[in-house]
Amino acid sequence: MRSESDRRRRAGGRLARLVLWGLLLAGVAARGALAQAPPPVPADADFDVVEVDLEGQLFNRVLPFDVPFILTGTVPSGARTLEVRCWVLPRERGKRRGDPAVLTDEALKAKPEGDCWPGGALKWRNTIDPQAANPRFRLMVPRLDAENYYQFKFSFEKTVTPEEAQAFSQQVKGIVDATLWGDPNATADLPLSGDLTVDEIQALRGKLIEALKQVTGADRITQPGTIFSEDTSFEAVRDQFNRLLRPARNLQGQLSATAEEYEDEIANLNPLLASLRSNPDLQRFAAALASRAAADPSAQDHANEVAAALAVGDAPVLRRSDRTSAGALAGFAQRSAAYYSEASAKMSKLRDLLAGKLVGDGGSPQSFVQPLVASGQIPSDALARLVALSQPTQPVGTADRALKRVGEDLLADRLARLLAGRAAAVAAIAEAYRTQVEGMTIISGSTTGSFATQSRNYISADTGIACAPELSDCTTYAGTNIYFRPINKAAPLNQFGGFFQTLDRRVSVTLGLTVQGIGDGKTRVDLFNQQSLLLGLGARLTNSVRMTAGGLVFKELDPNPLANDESLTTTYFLSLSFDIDVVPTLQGIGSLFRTALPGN
Amino acid sequence: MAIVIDENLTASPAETRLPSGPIILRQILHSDLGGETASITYTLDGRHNVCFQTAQGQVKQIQINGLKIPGGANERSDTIALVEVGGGTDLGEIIIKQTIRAENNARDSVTLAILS
Repeated sequence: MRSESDRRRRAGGRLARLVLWGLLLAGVAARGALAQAPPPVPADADFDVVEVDLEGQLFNRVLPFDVPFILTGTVPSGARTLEVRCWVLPRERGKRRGDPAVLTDEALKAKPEGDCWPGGALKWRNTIDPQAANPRFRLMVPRLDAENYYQFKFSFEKTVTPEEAQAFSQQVKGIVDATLWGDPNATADLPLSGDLTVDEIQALRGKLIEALKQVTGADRITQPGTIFSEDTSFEAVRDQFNRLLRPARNLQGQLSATAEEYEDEIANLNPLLASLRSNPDLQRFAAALASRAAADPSAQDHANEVAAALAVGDAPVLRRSDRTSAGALAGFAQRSAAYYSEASAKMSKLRDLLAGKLVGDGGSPQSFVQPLVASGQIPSDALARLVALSQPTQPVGTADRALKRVGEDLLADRLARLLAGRAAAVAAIAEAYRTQVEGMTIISGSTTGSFATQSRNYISADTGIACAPELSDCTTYAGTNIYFRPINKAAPLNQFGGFFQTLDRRVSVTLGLTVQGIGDGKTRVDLFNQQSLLLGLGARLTNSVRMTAGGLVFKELDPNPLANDESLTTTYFLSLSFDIDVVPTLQGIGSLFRTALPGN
Repeated sequence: MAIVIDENLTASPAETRLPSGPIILRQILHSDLGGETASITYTLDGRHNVCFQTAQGQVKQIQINGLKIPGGANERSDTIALVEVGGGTDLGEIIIKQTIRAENNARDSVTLAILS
């Protein structure tokens, strides 16, 4: 009977060992997870080290909790300082939805210095060499809470490089050019030439600030007193900004006036040209010269001159599409130049012919005209009217002057000069800002998304002595402790407050097995071969020492020596235990397996 | 008869506070008829509260008639002054538009910066 019982006990013992080592391994694994996550800690530090990639906006690991840690990474060349700010994300954001969430700009601005730790931003100063390639920063980050999501912002102070200043200058040129000229979709009356309100100037300033931020990656421009610093009031820079803009605006107003003047001129010129084309005296003169040319070759040139002048078409009309930009207006002037050159030359020849080549000093017809007058093709009064047409205020003279005035003075000279002047004025603004921003101090930023601290350290392993007063016996045991929240054993308990303030970090459920049996072979035997089960509730007294109270589960033997009956029973125990250090545990894990596996 | 603007209108000073002191508007022009009579009108936008200060009061438009514009390039000038009517203006820059009426309508303008 006893041998059967012994066999069952041996089988139970193997099972008990498996359970024991399973529990131990669970505890070790939990510690192991903590041990595996951190990157190699530098020899000169006991802190966890977290590497951050500012470009990728990523950390290389889950963030530690309850302990300060070292944050390190590279900053761009030229960075002089780095500031780190951190915000706690609301729990329902990211965690419940399962996707990273970040705070809105408004939320960030509500707490500009962050809220993860007191004292505002952490600051690193580059004391090595700001121009060194990719300098590394190291910052000690105060402890974070477990099971939280955080958002970090890294801001580095740097100066605007010459290349960035040049790129910005190109942006300024585009912005100022387009903004001052006006939006073709909003109005046909371009370029804009009205008054400039303070609001409009401020809007332009806003565009320039955004462009500078975009080119340099800046979040903030801190250089005081410039139009780019949002800390500088508009009133403080208004005059400076105005002075810079005024030349371009002035020339643009004059461009607008010139465009209007052109439209006025064309409104008069085209009807005038049409009236010349249908003028009966000129038409008769053209026909007479053409018929005379067959008999008198000397009349051919004059016939051609009159025909050419009468064939001059309408002057180009300035359309809405020609006023959409400075380039479009310049293109119009260029395209129109050939028309005015040709038309002006033809009208000029007609005026010269009418004014000086039809009649002599005494008023008598010139030789090539004489036959036309004699034949009645050109009556004397018609000849007088033809001569009169060439007078400066008469149709041919007026058209001749208008074509010259518009083609040469208005388009070729004034419009071209104003366009060139405006382009130079815009370029001067761009250049002024290029020199102003080069070397300017800016704050560049990089914001990480939602990052979590560790949340799975609920289990630890320990070993200790458990005493059962009712058995008058003490035994060693190994167990696991299951906490009700994440625990970082590296964090000293006293930093979180007194004993009762830190109860949630101290209290755990303990599940263990005795290492030595408590059976005496007479009144009790162990639950599994030579191990009995401990179930209890413990509290850490210090970081590594725990006191536990609970029940010891074993088997009670029937007092009758002839009976083999065993019944499950418990007795209370008190224990003092110590955390199992992860490294020795891992070192000994092989031998544990050797003894734990069935058959060994 | 037609007027040709040889050099656009300039203002001296080109930036001013309000009320301003005397502002001299200069321009070079000629007539392509060898000389003619013209009238010049300076206009401010009617939508803001800045006016010309004249002996007759505060006006939005000044007209100068019977000007003899010669055939050769000729500099001429007019003096104006600006004043706010009522509260402060929200203008950063103000444009004075000019129309010269003769055979044609020649147009020009000058922009002044209004200092704070």
